[in-house]
Amino acid sequence: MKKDEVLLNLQNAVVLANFEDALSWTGYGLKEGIPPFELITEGLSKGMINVGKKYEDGDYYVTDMILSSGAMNEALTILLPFLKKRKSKYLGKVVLGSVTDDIHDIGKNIVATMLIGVGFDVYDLGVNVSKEEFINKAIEVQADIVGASAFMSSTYLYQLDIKKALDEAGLTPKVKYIIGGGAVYRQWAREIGADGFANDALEAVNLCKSFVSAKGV
Amino acid sequence: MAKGIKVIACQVMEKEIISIVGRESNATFVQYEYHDKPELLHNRIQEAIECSTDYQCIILGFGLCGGAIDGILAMTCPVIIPKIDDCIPLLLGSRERYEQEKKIESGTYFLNQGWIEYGNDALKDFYKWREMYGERKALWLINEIYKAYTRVAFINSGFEDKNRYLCYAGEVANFLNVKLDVLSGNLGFIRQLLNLEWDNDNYIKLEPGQKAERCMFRP
Repeated sequence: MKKDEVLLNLQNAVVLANFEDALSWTGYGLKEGIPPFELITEGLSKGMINVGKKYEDGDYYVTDMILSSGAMNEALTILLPFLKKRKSKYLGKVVLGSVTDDIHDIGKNIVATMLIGVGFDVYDLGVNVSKEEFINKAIEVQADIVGASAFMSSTYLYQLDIKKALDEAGLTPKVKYIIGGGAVYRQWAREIGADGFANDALEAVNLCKSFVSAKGV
Repeated sequence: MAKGIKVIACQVMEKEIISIVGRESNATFVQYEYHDKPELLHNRIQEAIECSTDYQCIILGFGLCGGAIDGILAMTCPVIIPKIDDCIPLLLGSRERYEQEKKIESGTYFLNQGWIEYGNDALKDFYKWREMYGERKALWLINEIYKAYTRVAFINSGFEDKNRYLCYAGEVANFLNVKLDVLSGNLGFIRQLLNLEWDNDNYIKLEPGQKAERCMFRP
């Protein structure tokens, strides 16, 4: 089978959230000698970008996106160990998490999957992440970007705390700080001096890409 | 002549609100189903405001509700909005109590009678998603979406028929394999709201022509 067909099948597996196909076409692609990075960027990730567009157009529910993201993650469990050996391929390092007291992570998880898909090295700290954990991880991995998600109007003020902590740790402006989540709005990002705001996963990916391309990575 | 006060609220609080203002009151309840699409919920609330002319003021029984209230425009009279994310603080009596309960267990899934009657929960989601995607994917989604929840808390507002709702809340807890707690409801916050006993800390007042903004909801 031609490489393009394998990649197309991978895209379709993600679009249709077919976990088994995502796994089997990944395995097949590896066996055929397609580079793991290409399976991600030209297969899985393109599928996920399609899913993001379908969601934006109102053709997909958020549950469709979560399922597609799950299918992509299944395949990534096979592919990521290969990528770890090829650090030079990463576009940049992103530390992600949901802020203190916030247990909502659906959007953040989709962002993480899509960022991995386009070639970022993602450190997802999970939910209820303190400013110290964000800072420590950013220092430890020498992050290019830190992203904080907040879903509640009772928790999004923590995004300001993280910005202050990044400033105090001397990480800004080198480390870019982006925010998102259900409770957050563009003006809030400007108010707290964040470098960017993303309303959805596609916007987050484009934002992160713009930072690293500006850096010339 | 102004017709008094108009209440526009989410139907999950219908019983609580009716118990205070009575069935004959000027209250409109907006269907819960619009919560899944905040822009639709926004439109329904705005339409209800636009249909409510000649009132002294309009009271919204909604929180920010996923951003649905962002941009709501007061038309001919002031609009009062509680400064909350969702209706849970209204059912528990205060924002402080809500914060306290979340501190006790951050992964709390709150339910009340109205929520069980009209809203979403893990069981209803499971049945809906099973229809859409089949059992395996539905279970995968439940695990993914509800994984952070560690308890179901039933808010008991003290209505006579509460037992069957409490039983159902127990079924949801069992399904998620988490514990069930019963919290006493407190209608004090709703009562203050409906009695126009507001202050800037707890409520937003939009003057005619003014729009609600997310930043107004900051504690």
